Amino acid sequence: MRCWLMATRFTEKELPRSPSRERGIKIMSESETIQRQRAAAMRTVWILAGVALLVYFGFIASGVMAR
Amino acid sequence: MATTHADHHDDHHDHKPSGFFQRWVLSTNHKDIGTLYLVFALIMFLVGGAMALIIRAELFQPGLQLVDPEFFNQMTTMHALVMIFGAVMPAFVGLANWMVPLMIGAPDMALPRMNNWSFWIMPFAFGLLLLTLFVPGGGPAGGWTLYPPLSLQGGNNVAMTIFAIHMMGVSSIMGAINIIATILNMRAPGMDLLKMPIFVWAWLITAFLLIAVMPVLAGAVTMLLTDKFFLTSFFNAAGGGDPVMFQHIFWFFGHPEVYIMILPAFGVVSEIIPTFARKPLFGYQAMVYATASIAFLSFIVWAHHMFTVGMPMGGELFFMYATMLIAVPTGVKVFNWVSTIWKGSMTFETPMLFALGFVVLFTIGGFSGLMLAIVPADFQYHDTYFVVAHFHYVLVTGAVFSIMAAAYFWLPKWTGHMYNETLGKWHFWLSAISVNVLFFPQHFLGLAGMPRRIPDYNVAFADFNMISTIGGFAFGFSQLLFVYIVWQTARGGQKATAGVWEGAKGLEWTVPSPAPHHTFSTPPVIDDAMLAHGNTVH
Amino acid sequence: MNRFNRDDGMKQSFGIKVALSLGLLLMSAMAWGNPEPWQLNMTEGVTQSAAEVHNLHMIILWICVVIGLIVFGAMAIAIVRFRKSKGAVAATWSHNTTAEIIWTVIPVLILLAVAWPATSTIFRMADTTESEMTVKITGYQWMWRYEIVNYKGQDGQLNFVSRLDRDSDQTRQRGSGKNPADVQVDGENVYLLNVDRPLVLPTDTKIRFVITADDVIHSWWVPVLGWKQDAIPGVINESWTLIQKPGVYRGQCAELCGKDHGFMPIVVEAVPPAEFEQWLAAEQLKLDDAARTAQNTASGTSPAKG
Repeated sequence: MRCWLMATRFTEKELPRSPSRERGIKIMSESETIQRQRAAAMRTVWILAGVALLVYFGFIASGVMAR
Repeated sequence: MATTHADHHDDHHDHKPSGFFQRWVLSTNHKDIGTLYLVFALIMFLVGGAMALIIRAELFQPGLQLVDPEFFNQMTTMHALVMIFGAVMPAFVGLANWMVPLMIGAPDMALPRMNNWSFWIMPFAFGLLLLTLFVPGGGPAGGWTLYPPLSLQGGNNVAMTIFAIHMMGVSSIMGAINIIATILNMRAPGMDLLKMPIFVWAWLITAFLLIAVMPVLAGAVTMLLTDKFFLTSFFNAAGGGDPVMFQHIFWFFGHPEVYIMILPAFGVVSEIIPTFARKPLFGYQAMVYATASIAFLSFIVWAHHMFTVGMPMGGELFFMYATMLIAVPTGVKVFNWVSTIWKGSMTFETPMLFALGFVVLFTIGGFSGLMLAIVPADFQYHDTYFVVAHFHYVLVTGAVFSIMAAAYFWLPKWTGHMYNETLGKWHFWLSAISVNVLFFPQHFLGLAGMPRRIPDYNVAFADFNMISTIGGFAFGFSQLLFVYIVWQTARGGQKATAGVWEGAKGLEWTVPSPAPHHTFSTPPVIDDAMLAHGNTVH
Repeated sequence: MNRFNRDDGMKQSFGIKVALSLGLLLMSAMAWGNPEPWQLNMTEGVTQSAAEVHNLHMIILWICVVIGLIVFGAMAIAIVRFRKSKGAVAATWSHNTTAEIIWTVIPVLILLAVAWPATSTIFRMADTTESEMTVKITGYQWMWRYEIVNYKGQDGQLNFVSRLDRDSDQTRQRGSGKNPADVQVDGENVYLLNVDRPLVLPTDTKIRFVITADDVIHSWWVPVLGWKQDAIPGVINESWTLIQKPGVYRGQCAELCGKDHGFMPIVVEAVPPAEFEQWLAAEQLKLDDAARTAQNTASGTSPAKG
């Protein structure tokens, strides 16, 4: 999480933004439909990330319990 | 086809980021990231191919002429790791990145920055993996399947390989999350799930497989790492562990993994064949359900990679029946492709040649797969060149051919230029013939008794090995033609229209060629007639 | 000749090529012993198990050939007839539920038909009961150890290591200058398929194997016996065989086990039971002699076994 935030700060503020990057960011943050969609997408992302972590630790745990 | 008004506006402002670093290293653009993945995959394909040629060169004749057995084992191990994780998977991710947002009318992937990280992990991961060849002890030499105890006998390469695999896994998982989030949430209004292009369906299902099984691989190699360095005994019998447990965990990942490598191929071929047959894909809904069935079944067949391990009979029976069952939905797909071309109006441009070649040759690979499912027969096939022949048919004439088909199909959209059709056809025929010379004889070698992963063999196996090597070199050099064609097309060529192909349907064909840097910045208005599967009266 | 003729010609001849190759497979002389040059098909072997396995292999192969001919044949016809260049006009239909059901159900029935004999063979191959002797096989990097644990109720008292024969081993070194074609026994090339001490076994006797390994995973495979079994450290796997024909049968390790994985072959010498008993007795005598010698030269130490 910290890494993500740091990277965000790094790319958003520390580096110059080209016109195209500006437009890309504008597109993804200003169209209403797309804004709504991205909010919903973040929910999907957290759920799936949780699944991935569950599977990872779950299989290691099963390895431990099998012994 | 006419462009939408929004994209006409984009044309005037199709500025790409200035500077190499801005555009490529900091890219948050799905098209550029797609290009990065595809270029990376092509380079890795050549690296893995070079390793294969070292293997085939040594196997040209009986006796050891070129390399020592230790290095030979490193080559077989690395060839597989590079091809699977560095060539095939990134190539499909590259295709997904380029095409999925275009196909569903989204402006980009749901998380463009995470998309960037997903890609840039890969060169570092492979740098680390390839570096193992140059450290004392050399690269991993226990097979890409990393079975302990053998894999733990390695030196420095064990930790490096495991870290590289972790990195690749993180990249894949983040990419898969991105794809699912994009497909489920960012479709343009009107793009219902059962109207989506079948390539998108294929990737949606593949992405679920990735999230389910890449963490399993990560868990397995983590346990290898702790067994080696932190005094655990997960797989060490002397410490109370079980080497076979690794195989179960690995193949629980490994079997869905091979479907991860083939489902997008099915998607590609299902886009190309209807286009060049000028006829809708036969049985779109059946194709979607068949793909989902294959994905589900892929979770319950893993032990068919372990039939000789000493499994209880009940286990052998269950896994045999489940594995045989996968032939059914796969067969449905093949029958549907054939039904698509039946009573069509076909032309045979290079993408169609590769797609039809895929159907024939992948089916041959499927047949040997069905044979492998029969447990008692597998006792004779397992760990022989029969298996090698099987998986190379499904992966090379299957996955790789579909990637090449996709490249030819979509290069005009990506670059704005038509590729050279004559050269493309040469590439196809050279590849299709040489690949069979390379791999078909390996069926015979396996049936005659030649084991896998050996650098030298009895003279009885010499003739087919020689033929196979000749095919291998011919196939390898034919791919240089592909590299040239791609490079030439990127630089110039006959201008491509938005629609490119006469029979092409879908949102991706409504934007100009080359596709502007930003597309669908406002969601397009979907007219069912422009979609390939707009009428869901299936 | 326009370019499309070349396309369909190649597609059709490819289908023919596939059919021919598979046909040759069927008709070729199958080796019953050791691998032969240009061998196309699996051995029928020298045991009932191997014969059943070969049978299953042929059944599933034929099924695949027939389905392949139907599918590739349909494709070839379509490619010839339904070309735009020939003026074909595309139909617009794109689904047929009945067809989907038919080509789902029929494959299931075919698979059931194959699963039945496969299941009974699995049952038979898993039954190690009522065996007359037990042989313990241990895989090492990079050789095999054989132990006649017991024969017809008596302790076997035989335990020895079997390694790649010297001729092969010298020839396989890089830059040895020796030719693999020259490594022969009785006119048969045995390069990388010969050992210094073969495992001698009796024919017409049900032999149970217990298989394990000492270091990494290996796999013990003699194709004519009809099976292979992994040799796993810390695990003991069971198998059995009943050899119907005397002869010298060669096999190889079938699980990557390190640098010399390709150089630890297996040789089984199957002889009639009477001859086997003579061989066993002679080997045991040699051991007793060796033990006595050891006892005489090293005072106070007990005779070692094997």
